[in-house]
Amino acid sequence: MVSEHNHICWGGGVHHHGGHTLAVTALCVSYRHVEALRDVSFATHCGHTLALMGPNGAGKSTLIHAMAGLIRARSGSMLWNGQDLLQTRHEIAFVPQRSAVDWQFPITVRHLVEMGRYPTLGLWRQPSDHDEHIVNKALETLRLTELQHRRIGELSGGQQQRAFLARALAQEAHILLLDEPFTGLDVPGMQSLGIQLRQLAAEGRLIIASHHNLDNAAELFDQTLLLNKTPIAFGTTADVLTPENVQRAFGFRPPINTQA
Amino acid sequence: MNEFLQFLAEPIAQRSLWACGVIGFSNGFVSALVVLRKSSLQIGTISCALLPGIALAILLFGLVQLSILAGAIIAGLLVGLGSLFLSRTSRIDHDVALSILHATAFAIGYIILIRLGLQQKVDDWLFGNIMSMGNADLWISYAVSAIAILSITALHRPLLIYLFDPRAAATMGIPTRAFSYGIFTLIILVLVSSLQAVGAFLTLGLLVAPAATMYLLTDKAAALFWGGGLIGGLGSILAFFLSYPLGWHLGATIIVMMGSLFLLAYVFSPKHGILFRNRQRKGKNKA
Repeated sequence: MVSEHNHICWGGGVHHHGGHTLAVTALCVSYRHVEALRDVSFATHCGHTLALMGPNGAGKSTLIHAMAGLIRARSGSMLWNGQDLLQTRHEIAFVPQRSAVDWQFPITVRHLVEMGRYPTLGLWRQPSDHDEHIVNKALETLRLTELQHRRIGELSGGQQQRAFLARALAQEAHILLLDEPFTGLDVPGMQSLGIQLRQLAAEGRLIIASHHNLDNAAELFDQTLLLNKTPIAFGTTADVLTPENVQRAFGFRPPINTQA
Repeated sequence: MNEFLQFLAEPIAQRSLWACGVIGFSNGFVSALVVLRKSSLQIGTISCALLPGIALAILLFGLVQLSILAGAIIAGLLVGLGSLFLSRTSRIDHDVALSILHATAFAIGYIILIRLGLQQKVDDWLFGNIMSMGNADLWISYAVSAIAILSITALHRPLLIYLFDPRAAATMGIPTRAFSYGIFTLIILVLVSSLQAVGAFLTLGLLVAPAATMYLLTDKAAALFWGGGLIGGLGSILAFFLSYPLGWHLGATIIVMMGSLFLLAYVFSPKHGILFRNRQRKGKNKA
């Protein structure tokens, strides 16, 4: 049973008339007096996987955090379908960087995914069949059904990342914000997560992730915003990651064979 | 034995027994917060820092229950928040700031109490004396226990999300700053209410060990709270029955009990105990 009022993109075959648009305009963020982002503007819509790229300290994570509402922007606007992004919080799910998680915490994979139902359930309401169904489906989508009763600390890096993605799915969020999801994963883990993200985007979500590896960006993300405090280029990954742009962002020329 | 039964019939004994159960349970329950936040050392230092607050309250208002409670809370908050402030405004680390502030606060409190001629009381504050708890003390600790258990139970869903993943909690609309201060306040309240029972030095054992023991026994965060409460409550009651025939100090017996239960779990826990873990490893090596 799937209720009508929830907007579920995945599996429901929902058609997007022109897509849902995220428009960030002239965003400025500072920490105390240190400027972290200046005049960031871009627009994208659901169905895309967008990489935020740039050198260390370029403001990738800051931008993720600003969109997640974790830090307040000094000025500028972020609109989701014309509405203030931060007023439509239920549309956003945040996946933390793996190094920021306490992996010893006594919590199972299933319980982690069930946390995603909290915004709908509130303090007291018991999970309905509908909630159970969503949790099961999220576990299934990310191939975690077998592992659902394991403690999260017992999983591999790729599985841990998928468990957090499953929570984001259980939130039925439209926009998934991921902080460095590929950091610390081995090659198979990276590839399978890349396929997963693309699939989630194809089902109608908007995936935005901070990313630092120039070599595999084109394989993992279809769009890229290259920035160094201020945007340098935005568009399809192949168009953005030209040697000229990379040099402007990073200050060095990438090696010729970036296809490896 | 007969003597012990006679002692049990006394109202003061029954009151102490109740106090053991309730204070043990509420401390054990709240210890889950301390363990999940990994803030046990902070709590240890703050518990000693309550002393000057108590001393000043006695100096200003005499031995009045509520003012002592208020003084302790204010001292705890001052040292807790003061150390945060020091670490944020200088290159000194939070732990260092906390250590210095708590030692200084403790020394000031000690001087005041000695100057007031409350030598005997000092022992009670440091090591606890459940027998000396009056009715008002008991009611305060019951009320604090009820507040702690009810608020944690009512908020357990967002609380666990916050404890595990504060950033995601914020994106889900959970007021993380309020939670952070709320947890701190709750811990201090419970600390103060148990101060008379087990004292500033020993309270750390009751406010950390129960949930730490559960931590070795379960993978469910919710079980840390209720299991911690049961370990704290039943362990304290058991300690009460042991301390009389053995002639041991009750507060110290409670803490020894908590430490022993923790060690038992450390060795024998079927999931995370060292006995079984080593066997598991050997099994894996063979396979």
